[in-house]
Amino acid sequence: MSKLIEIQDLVLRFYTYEGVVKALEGVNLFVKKGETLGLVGETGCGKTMTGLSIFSLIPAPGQIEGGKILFKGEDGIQELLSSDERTLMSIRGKNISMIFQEPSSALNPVYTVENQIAEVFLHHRRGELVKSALEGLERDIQDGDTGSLKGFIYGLERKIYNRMSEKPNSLSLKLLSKIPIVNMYQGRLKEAVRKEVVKILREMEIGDPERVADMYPHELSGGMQQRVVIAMALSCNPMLLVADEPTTSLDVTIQAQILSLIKRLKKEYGSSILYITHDMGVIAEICDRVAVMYAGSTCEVADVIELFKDPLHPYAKALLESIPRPGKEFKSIIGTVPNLIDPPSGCRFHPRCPNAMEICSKAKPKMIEIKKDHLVACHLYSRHTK
Amino acid sequence: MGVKSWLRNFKTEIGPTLKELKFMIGRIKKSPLSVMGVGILAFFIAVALLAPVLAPPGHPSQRGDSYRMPQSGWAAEPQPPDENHPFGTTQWQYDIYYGTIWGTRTALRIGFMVVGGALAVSLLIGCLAGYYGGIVDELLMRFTDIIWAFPGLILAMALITVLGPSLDSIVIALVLVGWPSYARVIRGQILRVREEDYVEAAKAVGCSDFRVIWKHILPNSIYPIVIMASLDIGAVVLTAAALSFLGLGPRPGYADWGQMISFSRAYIYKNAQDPLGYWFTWTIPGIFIFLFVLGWNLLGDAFRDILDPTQRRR
Repeated sequence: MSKLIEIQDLVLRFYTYEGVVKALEGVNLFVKKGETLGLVGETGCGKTMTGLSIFSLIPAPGQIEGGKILFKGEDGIQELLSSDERTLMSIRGKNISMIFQEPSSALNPVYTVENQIAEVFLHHRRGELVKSALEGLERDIQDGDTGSLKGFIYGLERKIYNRMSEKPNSLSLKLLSKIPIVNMYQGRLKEAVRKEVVKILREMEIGDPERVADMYPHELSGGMQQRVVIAMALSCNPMLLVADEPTTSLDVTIQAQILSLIKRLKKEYGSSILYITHDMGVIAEICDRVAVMYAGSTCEVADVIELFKDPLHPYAKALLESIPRPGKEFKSIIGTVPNLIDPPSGCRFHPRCPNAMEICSKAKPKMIEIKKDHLVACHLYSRHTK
Repeated sequence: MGVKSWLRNFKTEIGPTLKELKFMIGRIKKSPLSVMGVGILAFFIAVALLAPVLAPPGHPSQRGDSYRMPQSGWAAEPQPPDENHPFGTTQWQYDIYYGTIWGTRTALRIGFMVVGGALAVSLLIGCLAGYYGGIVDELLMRFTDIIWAFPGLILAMALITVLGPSLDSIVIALVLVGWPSYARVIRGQILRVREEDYVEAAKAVGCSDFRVIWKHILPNSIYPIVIMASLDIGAVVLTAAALSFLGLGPRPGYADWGQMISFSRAYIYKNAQDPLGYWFTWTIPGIFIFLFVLGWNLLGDAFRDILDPTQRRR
């Protein structure tokens, strides 16, 4: 399987008043076609920022200082960080899309579900929809008799829709769509969009899609909202889906439903998923491979079964041990998360690491492949490969 | 089929709007004060629309300008109401009835133009400052502060003096003085909404900056400004009347409530036997101004309850 997206040595800094926050320092990971990669780590270790970097949507004082993000899209491999805004805008939502953590705030409160999803459709799949509207129109013309008035209206409609499919950016049509009564020609397009919206809502296992489409976000429950958010993310059949803790704010039963939904949709749509979470249980449930992050860098990447069976990095080990289990003493990781303005030198985990050596505080360990597809960045293992 | 499908389209197109309108009317009906506000404004709008019927122009002294109050004679002393002049006359015999009716048009025009102009300026500046932040924000907001630092009425008077006294000058001056308060509120609202997840989501879907601002940020931040604006229409008319009272308004004889009150400046007190003998000169335009401002204030409150989608469906 080939790599769909590869992040190489990503460095992200925030220039704040207190100092430079070294938020990401050498993130290395890749997602293969059709797989789910779990990105796990504690709060504030840069999981979400890694996800947002793929979209080049880093919030204000943040700047990407180095690294590459290679995306293998329809037209060959693209480097996303150096792409211009126009290319990014055509990729966002169409090839790469995102599911947010808090579904209630990821939906715009002033639009109905239909309008929110329709926006994505009209932004990226306008041509397709215009074509289907045009087909419907042709059918109507063939069925109905071409009486004087009807025939005239049909003729006008056909002219407009033909122009729409030929010149999607035509200025005169943009103006036309702003004139009341005249802009009713868009009714057909809207019908076509609605059909698609209802279809995708049904895919999301929403019981009454026709009714839900007309509802406002605050009228829906959390689980339903998250389904709508997922519908928006999947509406253009993206190659990569970045899911940023999509189930964290939901209760456990809904969480299970959403997880099985994501699993099923992944199979149907053939998308790859970058699943960001801090929940090892969810990782075991849904992921094929796992990348463990600590304080802004990836420290271990492995197959999910491999990681649970044989974790190599001391942090990954500690993380797995800190999952509470009945009948076992609860172990926490000693110490606290480092301040990223002034992070520890060398390996950022060394002040908390039970196996810390002299070299750990001096040099940053490199990512090395210990076994097949099992990478780790730790000085403990660098000797073996030498 | 064709016509039918068009009718169907029309229905689906207009249906939600009608539903919202029904909902709005239902909400207004529930609160007596809102009903009053709407009633008062409906009255004024009706008066403005029907002005040519209620007070037909065509008096020779108007010289074809229907906004000029008809003048019967040059006598200085105001005349009490009689059958020719239902509300009496001002000094120099301008008809008060005609002036108040056509003055309604003037008041509405001032209100809408000033508030509309101020909104347009402040939307542009507030959106740019709030959305882009950084140096753009700093420059635009410090400029706003400079305007804000001047006493509004004095700055407006200075501007009118420069532009030359007229109704248009009043409108321009009030727009230039009035926008900073809106711009600040819009900027604040945008700063709040900009951080919401759905804005990030819109960007992640591939929306352009303009689309993000216009479709996602503004609909969520515009309500406080709409309420402010509707409250301000009344206040603006009051300020315009004050400026006009000070002699900075349109030329004498123009149908304008402020000017009519300024005409009665010398006729508030008649004499010891009949101190309120000239009551009609200042009470009648005064009542019109009072009701107009009251109507807009009540409507502003009603708007707050109706328009904000996060508050309305309670």
